[in-house]
Amino acid sequence: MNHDAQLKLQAYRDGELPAAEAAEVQSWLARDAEARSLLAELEHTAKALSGNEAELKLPESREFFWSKIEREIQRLEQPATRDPAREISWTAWVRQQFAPLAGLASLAIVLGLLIAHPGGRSSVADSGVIDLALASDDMGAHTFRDQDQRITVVWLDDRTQDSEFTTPEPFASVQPE
Amino acid sequence: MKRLSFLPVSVWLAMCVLAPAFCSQRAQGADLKVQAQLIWATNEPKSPNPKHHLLDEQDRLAAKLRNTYRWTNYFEINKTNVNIPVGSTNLVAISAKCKLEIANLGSDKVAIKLFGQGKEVGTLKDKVLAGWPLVLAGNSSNSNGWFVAIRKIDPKAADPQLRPESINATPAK
Repeated sequence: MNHDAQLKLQAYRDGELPAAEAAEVQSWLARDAEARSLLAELEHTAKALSGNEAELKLPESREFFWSKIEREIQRLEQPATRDPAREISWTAWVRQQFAPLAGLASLAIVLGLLIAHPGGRSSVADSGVIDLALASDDMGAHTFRDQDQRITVVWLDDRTQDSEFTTPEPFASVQPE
Repeated sequence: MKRLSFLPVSVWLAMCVLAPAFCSQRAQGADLKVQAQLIWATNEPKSPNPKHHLLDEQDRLAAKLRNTYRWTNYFEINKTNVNIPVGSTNLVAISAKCKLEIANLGSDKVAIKLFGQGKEVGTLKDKVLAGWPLVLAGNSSNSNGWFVAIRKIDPKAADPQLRPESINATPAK
């Protein structure tokens, strides 16, 4: 008996053949003892399988079981999708990690300087140089900055003792009319 | 932290570089509002001119002068507030015989030219900052003294006279 004949017999046993072919197989079985023997063997095997196959019961619902499988598939597929992102250069990584920090730190420094020294106050306090040009050689001047009092004074002296500031009527020189 | 990375490094750097420059530019290009004040220093309890106003203990400038000089009384003779655009010069007649030419050089720097009895005495260039008066001074007769104080007018000033709204105020007589 060839392989095709065996498959045809199995199909007959499973009821998968059309009526015409099933009639042919019946007549074949009536004539051939080997075919009948194989059919009996197939019947036995089918009964053994259907009667003794262990039934597997899932500990969770069907939906939960499949959702677990779905999540696991997604987890396994995720590294493949993230691979291009992982291939960024180290400069990009440094920029991503430190650029915001560097920017914030720089802004904090700038704001700190602006708050601590509004209008450049420190430049006056730190620079002791006062640019003073007197119109006459008879005039003298001395200047000082008082850091505690926060005041800059330029004291003018007339060496001739003859100016509007030192004459007997000096006050009149600055007194309003 | 990830939220902040939406700005590229170049933008952060530009902000850091431009922020001080912007502030500096703003200060450089702004009008300068100053107050010029003429003060007579003496140990006399009263001024010969009753219009002169005795600066009391509450006056910050007078307090600074008291802490520095031997005179006990400081009388305000005149006071004028002026607004000087950058690059401009304002002539301030602080008394009949004392005048100031104040030039705004930008960035809070001024050039103050002092005239006494019509003659130029000298020119001072310096920064004038809020809360830090720039004072020209000298001896006067009878062991008295005179002071011309230039003060920056500041919106945050405790003294209302040193706030910007006082710019159009009538000068004290």
